[in-house]
Amino acid sequence: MAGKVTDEAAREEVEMQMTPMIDVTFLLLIFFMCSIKFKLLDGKLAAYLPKDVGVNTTPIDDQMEKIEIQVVRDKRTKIGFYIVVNSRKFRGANMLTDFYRQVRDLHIKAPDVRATVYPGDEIQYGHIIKVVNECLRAQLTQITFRGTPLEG
Amino acid sequence: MARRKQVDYELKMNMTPMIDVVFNLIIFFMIVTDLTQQELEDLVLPKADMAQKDENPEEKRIIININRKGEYIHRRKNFKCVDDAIGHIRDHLSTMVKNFPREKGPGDPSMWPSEQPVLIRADFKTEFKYIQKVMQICAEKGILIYKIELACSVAKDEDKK
Repeated sequence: MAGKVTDEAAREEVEMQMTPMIDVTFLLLIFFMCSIKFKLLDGKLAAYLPKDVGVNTTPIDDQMEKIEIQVVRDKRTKIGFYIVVNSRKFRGANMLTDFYRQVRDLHIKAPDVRATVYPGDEIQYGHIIKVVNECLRAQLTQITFRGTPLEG
Repeated sequence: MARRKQVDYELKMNMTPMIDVVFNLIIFFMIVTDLTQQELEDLVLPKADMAQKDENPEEKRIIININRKGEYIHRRKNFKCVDDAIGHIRDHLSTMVKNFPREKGPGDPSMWPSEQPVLIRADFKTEFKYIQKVMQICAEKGILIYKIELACSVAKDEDKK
């Protein structure tokens, strides 16, 4: 009798219960698949800070043609800003198209022209990007930023 | 005739390869989730169709995120106080800039500007004055980074039309 029981016990296969582990693993997999958010590839616009002011002593090239672009906040309009280029104002729905044409014409006249952007008070990052984007569309790649001194 | 003997076969699925694959998938998702969120904050970037794609960025590139409230986020640290943020960014830039290559020019080598750009990522609605503060730090003595990259999302072809 005793010998028979031992034989049966030896014959029993010890098996690991895999079902809960697989359940948990699948849950984890589903969680990661749902929570993952692939960042879209960012783009970038190159810009420069002025080399000829502040602590740096690179000589100023006064002969170089310059376009002064002021971006001014305008809360009354839906677009939210207007542009002033060399004292000419651009505002309204076709502002960016007109601005682009002006910059393109200036660039054709003087290929070495460089643009300096003066951001006004309360102007938003998105507005500046729109202006820089139009400058780049007009093949104007030399864009620098000037700003009023800030507190703090 | 002898009856065919019915054999008891236990039909078992071999789970090992499946478990291997599932574990590999989990490891992949865990790693990718971490990498994507490391330095890039979730911001609504403005669209620009002339933007260059940010391909093959340099490993040591400095990224400064600014959300629409004007809070600076650098290396996953969120600075609600502007002065703290400015101090931290200044310290970090002045440390990092020591290892950056410099554009050779005349005069004192300590005044040569850095060749490495700084990427500024800001929300569409962030006031530009916060970006200007970062720009001011970049132009400070001892840092001298004058190349700035402004992050934006690349407009899709439908948006361009």
